[in-house]
Amino acid sequence: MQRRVPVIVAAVIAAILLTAQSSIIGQNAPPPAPLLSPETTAAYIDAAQRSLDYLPGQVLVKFKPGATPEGQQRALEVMRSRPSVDSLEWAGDVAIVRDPLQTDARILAEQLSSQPEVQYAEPNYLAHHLSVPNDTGFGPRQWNLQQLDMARAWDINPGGDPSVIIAIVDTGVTTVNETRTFATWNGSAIQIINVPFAVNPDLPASRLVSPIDFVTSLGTTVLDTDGHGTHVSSTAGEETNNALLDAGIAYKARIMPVKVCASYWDVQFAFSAAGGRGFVPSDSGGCPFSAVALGVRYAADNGAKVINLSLGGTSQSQAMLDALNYALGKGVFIAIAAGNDKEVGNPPNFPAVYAEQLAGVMAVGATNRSGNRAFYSNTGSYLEIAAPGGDSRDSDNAGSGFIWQSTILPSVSDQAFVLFPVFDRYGEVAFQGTSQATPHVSGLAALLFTQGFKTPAQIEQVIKKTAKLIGQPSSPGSARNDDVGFGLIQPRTALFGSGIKK
Amino acid sequence: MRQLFRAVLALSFAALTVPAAAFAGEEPQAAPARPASSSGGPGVRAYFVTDFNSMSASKSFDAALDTSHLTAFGGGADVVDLWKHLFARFSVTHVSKTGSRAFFDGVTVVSLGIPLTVSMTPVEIGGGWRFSGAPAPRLTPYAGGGVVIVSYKETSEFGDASDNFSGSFTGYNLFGGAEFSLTNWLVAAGEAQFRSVPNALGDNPTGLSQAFKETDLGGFTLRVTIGIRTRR
Repeated sequence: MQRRVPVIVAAVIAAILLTAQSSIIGQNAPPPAPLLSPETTAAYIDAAQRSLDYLPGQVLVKFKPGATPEGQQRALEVMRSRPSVDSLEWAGDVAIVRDPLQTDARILAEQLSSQPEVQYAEPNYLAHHLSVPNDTGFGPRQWNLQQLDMARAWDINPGGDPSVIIAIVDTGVTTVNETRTFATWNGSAIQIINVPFAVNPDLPASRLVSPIDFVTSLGTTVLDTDGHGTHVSSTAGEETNNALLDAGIAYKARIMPVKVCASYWDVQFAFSAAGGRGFVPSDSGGCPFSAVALGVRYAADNGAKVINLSLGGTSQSQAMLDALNYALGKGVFIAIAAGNDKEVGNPPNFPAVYAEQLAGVMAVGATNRSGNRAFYSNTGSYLEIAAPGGDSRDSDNAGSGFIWQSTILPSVSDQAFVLFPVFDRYGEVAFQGTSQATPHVSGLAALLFTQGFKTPAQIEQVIKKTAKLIGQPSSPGSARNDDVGFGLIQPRTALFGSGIKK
Repeated sequence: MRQLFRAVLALSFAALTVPAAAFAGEEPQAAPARPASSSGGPGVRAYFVTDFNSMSASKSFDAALDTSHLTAFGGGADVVDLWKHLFARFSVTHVSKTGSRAFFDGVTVVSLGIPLTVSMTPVEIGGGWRFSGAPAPRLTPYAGGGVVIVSYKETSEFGDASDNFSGSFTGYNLFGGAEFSLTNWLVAAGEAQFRSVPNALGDNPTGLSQAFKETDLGGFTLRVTIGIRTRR
């Protein structure tokens, strides 16, 4: 009985989405095409309603090398819906398999894993971006860059070079100035609205390269309907010395917007476009590991030297680990947020946990304005490095302890404040989280690539070796501890390198 | 090694103190007693020096300067026949070379393109013995040792006072060579030298020398001198 409930819920949602077209068609305005498929929209909503850490009815399957199409088809016969191999969607060498008749992805994964043609099968887990927006107002800004002595670091290396690309694998960074039409719920009815988008004036289109969207149907047009991806990209490389908004670390590097996370608005717009009445749950959306893995592979294939993953979840994923290894093999350095759940059980955060075993991938914790670990920042043996992430408990009421960067203003875009969002107004916005710490490391990595470092492993080595340990080492002779890894990054020291004696 | 160092110090002390005694009390009478001297009393060699140094801390120097072979120039003077064939020496050389700051990851060296200038000024005080049998030999072998005080300086572009370094380190040297008479007053010499300046490097966590576990600022030196002499 318990297993039937999700099936029924999903079926009802899907039925609403699939049949409600007529109610919109009867209205004056033609319905905008949904950017998410009805099945995917239903999966996001179902996951939010049931607090699932995976998309219901979806599994990632890697077939064994040499498995023929016939063999793959035979393996899929174990599923109740018996999908055709020809209809599968692929994320690299991993197939995204959907079964609307069995939404419990864990059961699906178990069934498929037992097939001789399958190397592994796992639920399509959801990661979430790891920061908490805060718009408490204006305060002393960018203590983080002063704490890292960036002014002197920029004397040595002024902002990196356009030849180095940082992929922000996140909620996206808007790449176009245009207005789009969406359907949304106004509290009593579905309404068609015009939603303007604009490129961040402090991260102009000339700095953006090879954008891609792996969650909606927009393809190479990326729209950030959340603000998180834009905030993260601003820390990594917002324009600097232009008397506008804030500064970013690698301000000459190019940014690759890779959208792998669906925002609340992505789900709401798709839900309403398909005729769904009402508001979707406020925490709808997320970053399916299928999309994240695809984004990591895409970034590696399209010239990124650094990948920033300010996201995570609590489930292991072989597909994610495979993608990290793939990018490493292409010479890409990867920084991953360590997680914000220290005070809620401190669970290991994936894919950050994998950093411990991969030279060139670093798990990043957060520090505060006082130079100590931020209260929320996960701890553990997998933590390798720390960077400023902000801390509401080490802040005044003006938000001076948060990380301030330019992004879409929450006051005109956050579902908590508005029914009809706009995404064309930017300003300085305060966030905190290991999400915010991570792009400090990504930006530094971009500078180090410009300075002459060639491999991800070298980048990890120099960042670790020059970090400043906070607190005591975990054991005598060790250079790290579980609170902050090897310590707070020291960009100037890393860039300056060594002389013979000093 | 410590005994050797003591011996060198003793030799240096003797080289410095004997001439004082010689000049003070024996100068008029000493000349006939020295078979190698043609006119009696100590003589002086003043010369230009070219040192071809091969540094002990070869990995550190290679990483930063792209070479561990440095050529130094300078000058010096030997006071010979202080007592029999004992001589004393004082010399100063200087070398400066610009390379790049670097990072060693345990496997490879990454050059960072930040100019790093290393300067060394070794001051050598010592003495030795000249093996001259004939009254006016064309070739005079010699050997000796002494104390070496090396002024060492590192400066980097973008570096401030806390990043740069300037200091002195003391060590010793042992040398052997031969002097060749070119004319009555012009002499040249070739010399091999071993120099040790322990614990000068490797003490700073950010330094390449610590990464390579190299601590000595000495090395092997081939020295060529040309100069003048006051007497044979």
